Amino acid sequence: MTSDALSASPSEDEDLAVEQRAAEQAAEVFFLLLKGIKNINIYRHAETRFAEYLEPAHAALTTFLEDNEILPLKLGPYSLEYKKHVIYQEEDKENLTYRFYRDGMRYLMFRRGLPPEELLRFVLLATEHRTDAALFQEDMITRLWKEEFDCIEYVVVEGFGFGDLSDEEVEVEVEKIVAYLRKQLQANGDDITRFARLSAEDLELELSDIDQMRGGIISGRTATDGDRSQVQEELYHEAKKRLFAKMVLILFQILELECEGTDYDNMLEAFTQVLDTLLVSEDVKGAVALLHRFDKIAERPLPAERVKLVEKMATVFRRRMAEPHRLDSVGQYLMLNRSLDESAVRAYLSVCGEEELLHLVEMLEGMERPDGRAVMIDVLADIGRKHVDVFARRLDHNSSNVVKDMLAVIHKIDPDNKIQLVSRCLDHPNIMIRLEGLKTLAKSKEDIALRYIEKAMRDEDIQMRVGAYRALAMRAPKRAAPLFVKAMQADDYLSRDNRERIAIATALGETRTEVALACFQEIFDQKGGLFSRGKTNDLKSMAIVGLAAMKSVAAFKALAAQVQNRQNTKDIMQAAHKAALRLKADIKTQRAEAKKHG
Amino acid sequence: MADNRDSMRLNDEWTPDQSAFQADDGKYDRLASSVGSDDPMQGKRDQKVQALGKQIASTLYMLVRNVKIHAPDNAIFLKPIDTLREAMNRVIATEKQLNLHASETIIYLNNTQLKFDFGALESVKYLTAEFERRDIGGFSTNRPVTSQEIRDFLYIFSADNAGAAKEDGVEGRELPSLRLARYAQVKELLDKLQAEPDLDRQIDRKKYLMTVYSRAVFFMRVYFDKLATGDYSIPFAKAGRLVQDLVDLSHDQRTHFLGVTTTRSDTDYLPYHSVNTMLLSVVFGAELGLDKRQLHELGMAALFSQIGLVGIPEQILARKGSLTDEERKEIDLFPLRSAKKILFSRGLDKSTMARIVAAYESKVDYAIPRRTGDGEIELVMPKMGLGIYGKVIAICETYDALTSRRPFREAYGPEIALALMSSEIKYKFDPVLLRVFMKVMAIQPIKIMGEGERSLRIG
Repeated sequence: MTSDALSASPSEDEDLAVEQRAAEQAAEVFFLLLKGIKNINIYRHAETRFAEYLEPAHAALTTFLEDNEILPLKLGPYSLEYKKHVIYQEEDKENLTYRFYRDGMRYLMFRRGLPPEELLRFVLLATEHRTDAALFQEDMITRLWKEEFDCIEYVVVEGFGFGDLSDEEVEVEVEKIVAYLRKQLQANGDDITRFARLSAEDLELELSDIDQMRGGIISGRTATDGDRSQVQEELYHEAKKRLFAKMVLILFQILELECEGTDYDNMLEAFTQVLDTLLVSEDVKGAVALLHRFDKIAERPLPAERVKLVEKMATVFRRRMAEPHRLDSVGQYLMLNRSLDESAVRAYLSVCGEEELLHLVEMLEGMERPDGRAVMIDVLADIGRKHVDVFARRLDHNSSNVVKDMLAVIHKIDPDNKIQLVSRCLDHPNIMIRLEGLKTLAKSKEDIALRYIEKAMRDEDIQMRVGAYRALAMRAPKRAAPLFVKAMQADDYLSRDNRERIAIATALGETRTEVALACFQEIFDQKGGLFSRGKTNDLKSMAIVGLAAMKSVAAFKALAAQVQNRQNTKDIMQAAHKAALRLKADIKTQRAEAKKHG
Repeated sequence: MADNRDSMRLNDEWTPDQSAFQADDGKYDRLASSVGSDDPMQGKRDQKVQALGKQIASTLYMLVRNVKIHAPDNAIFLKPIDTLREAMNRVIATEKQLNLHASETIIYLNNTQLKFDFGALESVKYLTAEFERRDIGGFSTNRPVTSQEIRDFLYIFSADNAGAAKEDGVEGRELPSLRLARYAQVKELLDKLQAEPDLDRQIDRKKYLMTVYSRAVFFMRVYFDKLATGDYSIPFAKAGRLVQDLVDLSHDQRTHFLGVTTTRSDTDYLPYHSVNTMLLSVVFGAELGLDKRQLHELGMAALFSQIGLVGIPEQILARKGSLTDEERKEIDLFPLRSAKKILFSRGLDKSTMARIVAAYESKVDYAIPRRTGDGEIELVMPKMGLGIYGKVIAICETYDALTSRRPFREAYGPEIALALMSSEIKYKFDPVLLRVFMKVMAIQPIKIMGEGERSLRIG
């Protein structure tokens, strides 16, 4: 035992013991509080049970406050102290106290009567994670203040005075104002509310200038509940619907009427932030409206210097619009927005130049939505007119969608070497891409494309070959017919896959040429020997398919003849009959359609 | 009759295009933030000080640690010393001074407490412990520092130097511009700030109100002086605390609170006028049922709504008689200037938007009377509708201006001011709000009318 302790009086000992007990009690409160917080953090979704988790802590705190009225706690960066007893300490990780401490709080006090919901609100505030930027806008102290706690108080250190002045200097200055204030208020009389009363001097001095007081009785009235709810409604409406729009318009007014060279950076920053807000809100139309407004202002009769400033800002603003992360936002909008405003996107992307080409191509690559891709294709075709190679390089891309889009862009740009570029797809390992290339070639009007279509007829994949037959028949019937005749007459024709056989016969028929008709006729004229009857019948079946595809009266007649031809087997006659009926119906429909369309 | 400067309005065409930027409910709630920019030169004053202060502290920490192993002149320190010099000189260039005070886990830079991340606290503690060992509580200068001076400062912490430093460093390596503070002094200062509050002390709230009011006036005075030199940075946190205090006081000291607003100063018009407008707005807002958060927003908006007047030549503001067109234009532009200054003080965020729009709209007429072909008067209202804050500030600001003595006219009595507001310039205010305001001001002008009179003709 130390001599100090020995010398302490019994009442001091008692006081110390009471204080010690209170400190233990306070520590228990915090132990329970931390336990509650731990539960809240674990079961973050179970909001309805938060109060329950804090119940033990609240009960302990209530007991403490019943005995002591107030629980004052000194905050350190890592700790809480109750009358110099550390009741909470956490140095290893972000703790409960530091976020308040760093905003200047030094004492925290809980007062008697603290309701559970107030403790819960406090805990939620203390444990909420906010970014530094958010805390800069509204620090923890302001947030505490706004919570309007009745039984939680705090003492905040504000620090060393104002601006260049020390605390002491500030106090001297403030005292001067207080003295002035006292003097002024004393001059107004003891009852300072008298200021609102009418004086005879007022009447003599001032009313002589007023011609007339309209409106009868000038009287005030207390705000009614209706007024108050109207005010709240207006505040809500203002914050949710009008504030931002007003802000933007004020910004433009500043730009038009009040902006100087030195304001340039700040104004540009503000407009950029507005732009980002619009993009975050998926309001591409709004972003475009900003741009138009710049242009409008530049056209107004303003001093030349300001016009220059506005134009400079508009130019830089356009560049900012075209920055990759903003283009990505537009891309997101294109991909995800339910009510896509295509014209707004086109207008937005019109700010892009060749520098943005690669980024836009990458955006398109990641896009799945067809209407979004269609917009991007148009934009790219416009911007990339001189850089077809950028798109051509991607014809080797693994994704058929990408190749399809690149083909579409190339098709829109329509460069001189379009066919050569497109033909590269025919060598792609992906069948879908080869098919896409073939489709583009089929649409092309240049003769050179036919060479590549013919090449596709030799593709390893049957789908490609089938597509190529049809494409060639449609694009160049006269050139195609002899090729198909040759194919049908080739020894390996019947050994091909049935689908391909049909495709060749159909394609030949679709040429609607004399050569085709003659070829089919020749097949029917063949007389099958004992060993070749099956082969002849197979060829005749294909000829029927070909004639049916010709969709002409001559073909119908040829089929009708085969229905009657006793040299044909029953199967062939039946097949010819079916095909003839179908063809007749088709021809009728065709004629009716032609008549309808004049 | 009230001079047109008392009732000056921005324009008659606050009719913004509603289609553009018109938000659906809360569409723009996610206001994109650029104010959290990491680039200290992009940020505003508070952020700038925070960013530069943290940079100074972390570079100092690294250097102080390493000068124990390598001499300060070692080439490995070239780059970090350059970084430190640059950060320090940026503070001096923008703030005209650099005052760093450090003790335990706290570092103040130019009266602003640096808000370190929790993870950085150990480094701060190490640095301040090293300072303490050399009896250094911080340093100050108002002149740019050189790399050599920083080396000489670092020498204090090197293995070659065992002793404490004097005010100008150590012998043979004196510091030409940096002045060192004693550790004990700084600690005492900081400890004083953290003294335990007297929990039983009853604060005289009336006296406290006067003190807070005076602080607010002083704050605005200092701030207006800064604005006049082109420094737009507003220490919003400090202003916010003052408004918070005043909102609290207005709850239970309403009468006294309104009484304080009768204070005027002919020579110091603008700071008093700004604070009075704020106080009146807070009381009026409370009557309208605004909660504490809203009163705070309104108070802040009101406090800064007049800052655009700074910079308008005194001869225009004080001119007796009518203004020329050019002078009129200067005056008309002031709401935009207020908006601009608020904007430039910290960039766009939701609070700033509310303040800017309120400051601007407080100068937009509630309605514009026009005579129709039939000779009737019709009122043209702004298309988008004015916000509550702007309308409240408009009433409070006009009232305070009218009841203040100006170089171009005497002060009007409160009733006259209200009489003017409800007659001559009545279209400028929301009539419902104006009537409530009159009640708040406890005005009963009916008393001056004869019994049964419905109107009063004067003169």
